[in-house]
Amino acid sequence: MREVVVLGIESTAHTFGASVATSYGEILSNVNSVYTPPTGGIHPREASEHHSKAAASVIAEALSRAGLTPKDLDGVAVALGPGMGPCLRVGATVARAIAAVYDLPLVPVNHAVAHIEIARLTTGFEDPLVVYVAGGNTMVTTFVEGRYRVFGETLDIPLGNCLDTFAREVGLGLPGVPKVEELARKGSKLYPLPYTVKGQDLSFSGLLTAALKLLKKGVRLEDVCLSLVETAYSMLVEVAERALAHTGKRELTLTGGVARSPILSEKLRIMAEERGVAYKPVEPEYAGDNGAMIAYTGALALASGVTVSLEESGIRPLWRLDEADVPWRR
Amino acid sequence: MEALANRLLKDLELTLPSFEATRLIAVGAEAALFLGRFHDLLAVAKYRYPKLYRARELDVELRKRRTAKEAKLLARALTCGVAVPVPMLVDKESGLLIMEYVEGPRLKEILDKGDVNVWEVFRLIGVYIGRLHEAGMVHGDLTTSNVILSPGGPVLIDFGLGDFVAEDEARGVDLHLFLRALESTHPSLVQRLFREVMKGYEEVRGREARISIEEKVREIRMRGRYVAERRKKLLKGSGMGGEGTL
Repeated sequence: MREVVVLGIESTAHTFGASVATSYGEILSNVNSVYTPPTGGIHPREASEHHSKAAASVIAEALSRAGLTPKDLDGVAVALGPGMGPCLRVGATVARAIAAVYDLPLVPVNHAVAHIEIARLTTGFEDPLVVYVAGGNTMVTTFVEGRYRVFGETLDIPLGNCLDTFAREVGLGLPGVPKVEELARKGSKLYPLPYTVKGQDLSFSGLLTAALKLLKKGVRLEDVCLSLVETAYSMLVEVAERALAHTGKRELTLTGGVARSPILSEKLRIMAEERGVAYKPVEPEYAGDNGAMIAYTGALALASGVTVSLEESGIRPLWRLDEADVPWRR
Repeated sequence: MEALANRLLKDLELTLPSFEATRLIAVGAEAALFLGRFHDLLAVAKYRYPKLYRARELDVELRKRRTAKEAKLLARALTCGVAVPVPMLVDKESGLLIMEYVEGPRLKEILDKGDVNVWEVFRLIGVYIGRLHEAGMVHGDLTTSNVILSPGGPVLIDFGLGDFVAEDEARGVDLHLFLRALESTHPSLVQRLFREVMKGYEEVRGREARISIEEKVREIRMRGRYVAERRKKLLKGSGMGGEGTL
């Protein structure tokens, strides 16, 4: 593979990020600005306004930290999806403009693929089973016949969304996962909650409702958090173990925003160790949405000849992981 | 894995001395399978062993519930004309289920070898799924790893996630999972294989049931997040746009 240097832009949800990386896996810079709503969840329009304001300075800083100018680049990569339309549009518009002005190829990157590639890079794993958990995604995936195939996913709400919504409903605020986990550690009694594994798929909506009901019945918040976290994570680890048994993969990684969760990571480690499978989570710096994963994946793609014309570079809010080509893997 | 296998073997000897284990067949996702002899018959012990990553209370409850239910499902499936291993002994407290040993490779291995002359097998699997659904059961984990191709034809195994439920929603999920399993492991064959399954299914449950369950499967596929198909549907007004498997 030839070495290319790519500027990557991430803007699928709450983060506007920019980074310069090479196809050999050097991350030359990684600058991210995260939109935090004053109250409630992320409103796509408000997040996109944040992105518009942040874009210029984030990109300028990503270039200056890398010690490069746009003329040193081989291409511009952008996450075209999946994600929130108004947010995606900011990144896509900026990327198109840079590509046009400096006459650089534009590289489309699937956000989920990028989470996987940055996990492979930072763990050194060649062919892992990937557990990808974030506010907007929960899936167990691995590479089969040219694509990342989804072995299991949520049939309703994502795990991160389940915990975030719970945190918001009980007044813990965002980000919900660390706050719920902190309280869970102080819990002592486990209450039964719906444990819903359907084959390799998961369902978290009933769990969320039942956890909130438990609280209304007067159960201590710490115990509800413990029961919620214990149930939700056990479900996910079980599905990951099923996929390992089914595919026979010998490596396991955890990526996405929830990869920073020490409780989930520990459960996966225990499961992997018992099965004799190597386990490593993505490096914490690259767990949440970030520009580096887009730049690195974009560099891999460009080195394999993947580009998109400006006319065809429309955003793809519903772009599924298993619809994205990954020609750099075989 | 070897340490685990030895530990489980010791557990098994203590719990059920009358089962003479000869060999570990596999450590699956939720249980270990041992081949052995039970009252002079070739048998398989399915041992749902404690999962260290799960809280004890949760773990005990899950293993007990699943062991009891799997035994009931197997017994019921047999009476409905579905080929499954015959259950011989159930000890739900220890998570142990002894059943008939079914000889043969897993369907997955046959497909992996590229031997694609399996259409009749998939039709028969469709018949079995149809009979299960007709009798108010779902398998819950239909994959090509969970079908053994015995000399007498396909045998459905691992009812660990099965359930007694007679709703189209559950039936739809059952078939959706099978379709998804085929997509992820055998992407190039999925369309034809699934067509054969639905052919067999229709033979049991009739055309109307087939059409309504296929509609259900489509609907379930639409629910996943970021499904491009859903957008296409919204854009085109009705039906499946373009690339869907169904």
